[in-house]
Amino acid sequence: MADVTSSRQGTQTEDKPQIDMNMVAIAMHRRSRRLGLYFWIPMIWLVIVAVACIFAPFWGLPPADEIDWVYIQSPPVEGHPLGTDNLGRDLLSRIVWGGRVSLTVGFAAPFIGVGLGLILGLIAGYYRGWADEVIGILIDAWLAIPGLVVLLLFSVVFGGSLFMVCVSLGLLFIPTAARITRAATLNYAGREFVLAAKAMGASDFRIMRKEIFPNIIWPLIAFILIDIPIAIVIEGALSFLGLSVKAPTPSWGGIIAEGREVLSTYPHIAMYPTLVMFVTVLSFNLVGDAIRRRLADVREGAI
Amino acid sequence: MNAPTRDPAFLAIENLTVEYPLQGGRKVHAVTDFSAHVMRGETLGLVGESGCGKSSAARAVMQLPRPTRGAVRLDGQELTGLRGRALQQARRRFQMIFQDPVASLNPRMTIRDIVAAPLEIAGIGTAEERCARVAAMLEKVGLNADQAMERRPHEFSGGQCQRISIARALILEPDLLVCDEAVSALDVSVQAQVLNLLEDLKRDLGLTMLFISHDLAVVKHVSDRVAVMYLGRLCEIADAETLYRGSVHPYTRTLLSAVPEPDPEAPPHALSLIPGELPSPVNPPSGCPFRTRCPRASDLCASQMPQLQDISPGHLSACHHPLT
Amino acid sequence: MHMGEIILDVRDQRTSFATARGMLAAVDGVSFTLQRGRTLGVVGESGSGKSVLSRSIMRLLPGNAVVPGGSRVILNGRDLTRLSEAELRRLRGPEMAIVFQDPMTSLNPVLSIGRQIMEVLMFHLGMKKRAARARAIELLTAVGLPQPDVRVDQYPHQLSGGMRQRVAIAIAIACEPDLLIADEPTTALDVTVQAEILDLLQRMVRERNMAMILITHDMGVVAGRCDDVAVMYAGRIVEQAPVRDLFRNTRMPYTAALLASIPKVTDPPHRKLDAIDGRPPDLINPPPGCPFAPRCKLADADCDQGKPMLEGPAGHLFACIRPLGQETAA
Repeated sequence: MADVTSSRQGTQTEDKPQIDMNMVAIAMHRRSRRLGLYFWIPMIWLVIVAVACIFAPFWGLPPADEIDWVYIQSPPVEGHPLGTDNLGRDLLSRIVWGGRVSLTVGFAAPFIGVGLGLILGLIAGYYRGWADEVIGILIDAWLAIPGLVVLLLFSVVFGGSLFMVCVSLGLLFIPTAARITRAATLNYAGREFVLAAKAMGASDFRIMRKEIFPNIIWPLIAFILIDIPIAIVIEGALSFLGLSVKAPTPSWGGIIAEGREVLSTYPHIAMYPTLVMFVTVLSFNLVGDAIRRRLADVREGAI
Repeated sequence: MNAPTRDPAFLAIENLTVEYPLQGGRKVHAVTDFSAHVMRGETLGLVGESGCGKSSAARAVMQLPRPTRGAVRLDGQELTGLRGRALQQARRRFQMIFQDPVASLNPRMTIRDIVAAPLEIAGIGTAEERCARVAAMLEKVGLNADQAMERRPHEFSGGQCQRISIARALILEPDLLVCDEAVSALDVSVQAQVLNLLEDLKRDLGLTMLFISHDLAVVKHVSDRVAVMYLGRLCEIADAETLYRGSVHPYTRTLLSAVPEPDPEAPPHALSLIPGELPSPVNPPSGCPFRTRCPRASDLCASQMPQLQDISPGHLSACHHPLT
Repeated sequence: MHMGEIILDVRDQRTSFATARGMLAAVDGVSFTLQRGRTLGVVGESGSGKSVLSRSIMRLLPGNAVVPGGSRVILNGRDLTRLSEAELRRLRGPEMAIVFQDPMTSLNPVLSIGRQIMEVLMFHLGMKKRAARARAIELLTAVGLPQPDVRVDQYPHQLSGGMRQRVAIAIAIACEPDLLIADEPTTALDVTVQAEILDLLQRMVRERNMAMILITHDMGVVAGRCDDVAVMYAGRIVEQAPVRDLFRNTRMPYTAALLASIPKVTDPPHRKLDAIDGRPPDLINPPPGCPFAPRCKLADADCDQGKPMLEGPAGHLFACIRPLGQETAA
């Protein structure tokens, strides 16, 4: 019979190449999950930027507001690798110190926004009913106020405080964060393991903390990854308009704004910070995308 | 068997009604006027097709959420009136197992944390004591505690997940175990393992069980008495042997005749059902809910809701035209 | 008619999946033939490879599936493994069709059911719109959908599960396929509806003289509805026989154990079930011998020496070297 002979052939050839086939399969699987250069190159850049900014005082750079009367509006020279600005301040030093502002805002604002949005979204999604409606209306009302107005208002009232810049930007992230949390919570609040926790008498707080929160953390992390570059760009725009931290504290947007005045004669002053900001934001986006793709695998249960 | 108690019925369900509000003031009548008594150490099976309200009834017994109307008494204690801490305390005595073995375990928690959670919530023991009890319970449900404790649910098969669910449900030593389609998602060979386990545990721990399933063979297997539901109402209730051999309600007969027997020489079933759909529980038919599909329906069935009548001791049926 | 004509000939079908831990052999050397007018039941537990087998026959496999060159699926004399995707698309419908477990996911939610049937008819048979619509209504009548002329314009969500499955069957039979694969067609349905759908499938096979593969986990479903039954375990057919033979004269210990573990309505309450201990083998690193040997009560040391072949006398094939009923067979 045909089927008998064929299966016999199969069993004989199977033993040796079996191990090889397993290795091939594992390799195939690994390859499909590899992060790739589009992750690692931007990641290396981000690490360089982060290390440079965090340890700014230790690099022996001239203070960001120290004026070198010898070199004003100078192209790169000995002692000033990126040259100096209008007032003769070291451009590299200003970019590094300015990066501290950008990165602080870039990380703090999304965390503030997601933190508050998480609480609102959890309550709305878990309790439903009137809590959901009230929070929904609040969010809609909040969305009706243009973001720029909020930022301007904060700038006018609290003028120049880095913390308040973070808060005002963070507030703008709340609605989306709350909606993402609410949707994810709704998805999990009806699951049987949540029902099981209720059946054993768990409090609502315990259910939200131990049963729901660990499951919805991943979409929120993905959301934070998207928001970091957005926050950096917005902070840059605010600084450019002079609505962020006050001079002489450097920030990328501020340096670009100062360089703009002499763009035709000394283009390097605006160009270097613009380039650094562009590459940094692009890197955050690329890294964020790669991580989000991996998070999707995690959420499918692979951990 | 068990020592006689004051209350003859250990679990008394009286006129249980569950309604879910819809928009526009309409309601889903999930369960209507359902009453049943379960003795201590007895298993009551609850069968019916999807949408018949059996799961809603089970959840109402569990107070998840509490029923719209009616009473649920466990060992003489009225559960529907309990609130807050009192309800939380009472929950130790009744626990539940769900259908989907994987979905009923939190994917982000270890097996130790999952099974220890009821103890933790009830504030029983120190961390070490809890851990020891979890280990003992896992062994009791047939899992290797050393290997299982630190793993997460996705590393286990469906049958093993259901064993973990059982361990979680039994760790507080409840008196009543509600099983909502507890073996429906399992393969037959695994289903047999879990059914045997449930029977053993029930005997060893003196459990009273409410066993809900759409599978008539499975229900018969574990139940002392069986109740059949249709569109939120109780059609017929009797001890298992009587119901499967001498049912008088046309719906029960239909249900039984539709079960595919694993025997090629089984007589071809005669489906005596009027083809049609389960009526909407939002707008149930007048009178007997089954009349729209019942071959024996008459005008009386449309005008008057049949009441439960004694057929023989312990055998009740709600039908104007019972079969004999 | 051509009753004995062989419609489908599957030869040494192997389907594996590349996973993180290695190559998972979901279908591991399955061969069988199917004649016109016959229904083959394929029974197995989850992970036995029965659904992957159906998709392998239909050539509807995901991207990480690996099928070695030696596998052959010959439908009406044509080797499907050698056809391009475009050629296969022309065959799916007129020559082979599949009905899935969940009609909600196999039907398109944004198209009316009539439209979905008409598209099949217009694509494969080149029918004009009016004719296709008339034919769609005929088909819906044939599958027992009440008020077909009204239902034809409805959308899947307006129908119950049983009705949706009737529509899925109507689509499957629209082009009069020679081979119909029903993959767990009633698993999502209630028992009373299940009986109706199985009756319908059986009637369609008889009326249209098709061949059907009925894939299910339920021994009760195959018992009443199939001519032959193939029992799958760990990616292989472990026993194949005419239905009566399989149930009355079970040879493979796995089949016997599976039958014994099913609770039956005729059993008295609280009977201890004969469960099969353990769990199915890891398909990435399968045991060297018979895949069922580790769980088998009759297994001995010889069972671990190489996989037994599927063979046996007079159309009753089994893959076991220690079969049941040895004395009666000898």
